[in-house]
Amino acid sequence: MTNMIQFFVRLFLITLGMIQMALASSAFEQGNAAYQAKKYATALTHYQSALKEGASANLWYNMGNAYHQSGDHARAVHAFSEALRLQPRDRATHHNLAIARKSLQLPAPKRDMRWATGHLTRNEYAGLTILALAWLTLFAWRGHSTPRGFNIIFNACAAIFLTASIIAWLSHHHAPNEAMIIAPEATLHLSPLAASEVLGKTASGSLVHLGKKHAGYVFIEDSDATKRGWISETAISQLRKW
Amino acid sequence: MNRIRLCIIVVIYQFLLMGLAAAAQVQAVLDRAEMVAGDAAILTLTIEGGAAGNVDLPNVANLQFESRGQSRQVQIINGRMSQSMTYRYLVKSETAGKYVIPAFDVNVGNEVYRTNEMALNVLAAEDQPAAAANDENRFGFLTVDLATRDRDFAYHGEIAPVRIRAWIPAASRASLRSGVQPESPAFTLHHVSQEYEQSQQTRDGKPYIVLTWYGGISATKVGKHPVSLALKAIVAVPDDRAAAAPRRQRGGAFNDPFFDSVFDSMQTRYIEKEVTLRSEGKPLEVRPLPSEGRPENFSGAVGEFSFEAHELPDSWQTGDPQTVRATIGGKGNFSLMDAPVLTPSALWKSYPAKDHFAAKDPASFSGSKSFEFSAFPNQAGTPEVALTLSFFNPTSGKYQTIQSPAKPVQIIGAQIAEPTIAAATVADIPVPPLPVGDVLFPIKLAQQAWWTLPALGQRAAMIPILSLSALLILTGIFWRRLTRSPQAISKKQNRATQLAVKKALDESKKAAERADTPGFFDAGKRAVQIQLGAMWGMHPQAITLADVRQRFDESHPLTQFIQTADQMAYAGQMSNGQVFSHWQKMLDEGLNALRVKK
Repeated sequence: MTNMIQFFVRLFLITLGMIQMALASSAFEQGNAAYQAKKYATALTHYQSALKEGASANLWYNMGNAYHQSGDHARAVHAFSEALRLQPRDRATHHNLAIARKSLQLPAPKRDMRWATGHLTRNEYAGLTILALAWLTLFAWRGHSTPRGFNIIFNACAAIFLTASIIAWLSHHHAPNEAMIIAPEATLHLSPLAASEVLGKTASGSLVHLGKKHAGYVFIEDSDATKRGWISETAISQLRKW
Repeated sequence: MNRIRLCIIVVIYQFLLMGLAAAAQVQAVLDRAEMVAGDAAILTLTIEGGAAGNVDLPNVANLQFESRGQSRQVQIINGRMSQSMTYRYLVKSETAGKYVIPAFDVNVGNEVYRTNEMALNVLAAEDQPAAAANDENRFGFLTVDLATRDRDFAYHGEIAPVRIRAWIPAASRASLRSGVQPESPAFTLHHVSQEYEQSQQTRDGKPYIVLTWYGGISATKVGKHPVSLALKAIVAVPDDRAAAAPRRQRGGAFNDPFFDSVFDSMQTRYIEKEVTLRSEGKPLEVRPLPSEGRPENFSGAVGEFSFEAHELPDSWQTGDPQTVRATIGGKGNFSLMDAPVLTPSALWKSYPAKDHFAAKDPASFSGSKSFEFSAFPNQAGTPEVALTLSFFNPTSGKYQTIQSPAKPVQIIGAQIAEPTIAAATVADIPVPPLPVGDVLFPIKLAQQAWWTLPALGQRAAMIPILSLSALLILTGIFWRRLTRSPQAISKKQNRATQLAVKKALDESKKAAERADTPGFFDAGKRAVQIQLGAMWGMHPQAITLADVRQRFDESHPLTQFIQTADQMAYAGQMSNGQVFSHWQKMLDEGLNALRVKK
C-alpha cells in the first residue's frame, strides 16, 4: 500500500514537472516569435515569465538580445553575463556581450581566479565529480582485480577531476555577491540616504561587489576597489551565484 | 686613517664657511591681503642665512601684533648648507579699513636689513562672505595644469594631458575622502594615476605639501564650460589664531629657538574641517567636430596618429579568413579609435578586431594601439592592399586619413557573394556564422541543452549521490582492509585446507568403492599431506614418511597410513574390501586427532 502511494506521488510530481517545462517552453517560443516580429518589449515579457519556470543559458541569451535591441544595454550585459555562467564557452554569447559592453563604452573586463575555472559549466564539473567518485568507488571495491597501470591512470584522472571541481566550487562559491549596474545614471552616496553626499557615479553595465543592505540601499564596491558607496537597490541587478 | 680624518674636517669646515659666507635675506609676508574685522592674519618674517636679534615691529594704528613663536630650519642641498629663521606674528584688528604695515628694520648679525611694505584690507562684518573663499583656501586648494597649447578652445572628444596638484598647508594633516573629479559634466578625466606623488613646495612664500596626479581630460559637451576639478578631504590645520603661548625658557645650551619646534609643536592645536578643494575654473570653449569633410570610415578618433607597423598575408583565398595586424601610434584619444580598414574596401569582409593599448606616458595621452582582426576577400585578383585610418586632427582642425604602404596580394578562388565562415569554428559545437561588425548573433530557438540546465549541484539528488558515493568508497576501503587482515587470511586458508582435505577424502572413498587400492591410498595420503602441510607450514607434497615419523610415534594411525600408502604405491599390493574399511577408519581417526590437537 505504501509503495502504491509513493508511486502515485512520484507520478504526480513528474507530471507537474513536465507541465511546468511545457509552459516554460511555450513562453520561450512566444518570446522568440515576438522577437522575430521585432516586438522586443513583448518578447521580454514572455522571456520573463519563462524565467520564472526555470533559467537556461539560451533563455538568458535571448533576453540579452531583446534588451540590446530595445536599447537597454546594461540589462543586456547582465543577461549575457548570466548566460555565460551557464554556458561559458558559447561564442555567440561572448560576441553579443562584447557588443553590449561596447555600446556602453565599457572597458574589457578583468580576469580573476574564476576565469581559470570558468571554462566548464557547473554541470560539467558535477559530472566530472560523479565520474571520479564512481571510479573511486569501483577501485575501493574491486581495485585489486584491475591492472596496476590502469589503476594509476584512472586514480590520477579522478584526483585531477576532484581537485578541479573543488577549486572551481570554492572559487565561485566564495566569490563576493556580484551585481550589474543597470540604471543609466547611478549615483553613489556616502550613506544610505537619498539626501546624503554624492560620491560620484558608476558606469552603467559595470560589475560591482555587493555589501550590506539598508533601507533600500546597498553598499557596493567596484571590481577595481576604487569606488565604493551606497547605491539604490533599484539601480542594480544581482548576478546569480554558482 | 689620518688622511680620512683630515678630509672630514676639511669638508665640515667647507660647509661651515659656505653657510657663513651666504648673505642673509629677509622677507616679511602676510598670509592674506584681506580679513574680516575681529579676525587675524599671520605675518611671517623669514630670515635666510642668519638669525635676528630683537625684532621691533612698527606701530600701526588699530593693528595689534602678537608673537606666535619662532622656528629654525637647516638645509643641506647639493652640499650647500643654509639656515633660516622664521618668526610668526598674529596681526589683529577690530576696525575695518585699509592698512599698510610699513617696512621695518631687522638686525641680522652686524647687518641691518629692511623688510618690504605690506597692505592689509580689513573688511567690515557684513563683507564676510567675500572673505570666505580666502578662509577656505586656508585648508588648501587644487591647481590644474593643462598641456601647453596654442589655442583657447578644444574639440569634442579631444583629450589633453593634465597635471593636478592638491596644495595642503605644511604642518597640517589631511585625509582624502574622494578622488579628483570634474565639477562640470562637460569634462571627463581619464587614466588619473591611482597613487599620487608627494612633495614639499613653497607658493607665495608659504610652504605646502603638494600631492600630484597625472591624467588626461577630455571634453564631452559642446559649449563654454569651466575646467574646474574638486577633491574632498578632511584637513586639520594648526590653529594659528589661538592665544599665543609664551615661549618656554630652557637653561644652558637648550635655550635656543631651534628646540622650540621639537617640543612645543606637540602642544599645537588643530582646526579640523571637511573641505572640498577646488581649482579655479577657467572657462574653455568646446567645439563640435566639423561635419564637413568627415570621412566615411571615421570612428571618432581625435588626435595625431600614424602607422607604426602592419602585417598583411602575401596570398589569400576567397572566403578564407586570415589575420591582419596593425599598430598605430601617436597622441590623442585612443579609446575612440577603431581598427583600420582594408582597402579597396568593397573587396573585403572583416570581423571585429581585438585591440591592445600600450601607453607611453602616465596620462595615456601618447602610446600605440595594436589591432588584430580576421578578414577574407570576396573575389580573386592581385589588388594593391593597404590599411587606412581616418581621424580628426585637433591641431589642424581637419580630418585626416592615413594609409599604410600598399602591398600587392595574390587572391585565388571563386567569387563569393555572401560572407561565409570557413574556419575558426569549434568542432563539436554547432556555431552559426559570425556576424560582420557590431551585429548580434541571432536568438536561439531551442530553449535548453542538457549541459546548460540549472546546476546538478543545486539539485536535491546531488547531495545523496555524493554522500552515497563517499559511503561506498569508505565501505569498500574498510572491506578491503578487513579481508586482507592476517586473521581473515588464516581463516580463508583453513577453509581452503578443509575443502581440499574433504575433496581428497571423497576421492579416497570413491576409490574404495571401486576397489582401487592405489587410488584409495593415494587420495588418503594426499588428504593427510594437505592437513599436515597446513599445520606445519610446509608444501603438502614435500611431506614424507620421515617427516611424519619425526613428529608422531610409530603407532599413530597417520604414521601407519602413510607407511602403508607408500608400500602400496611402491609394492603395488592389493587389499580387499575389509582392508579398505580398516584403513578408512584409521585415516578418519588420525585426521580427527589432528583437528582436536589443533
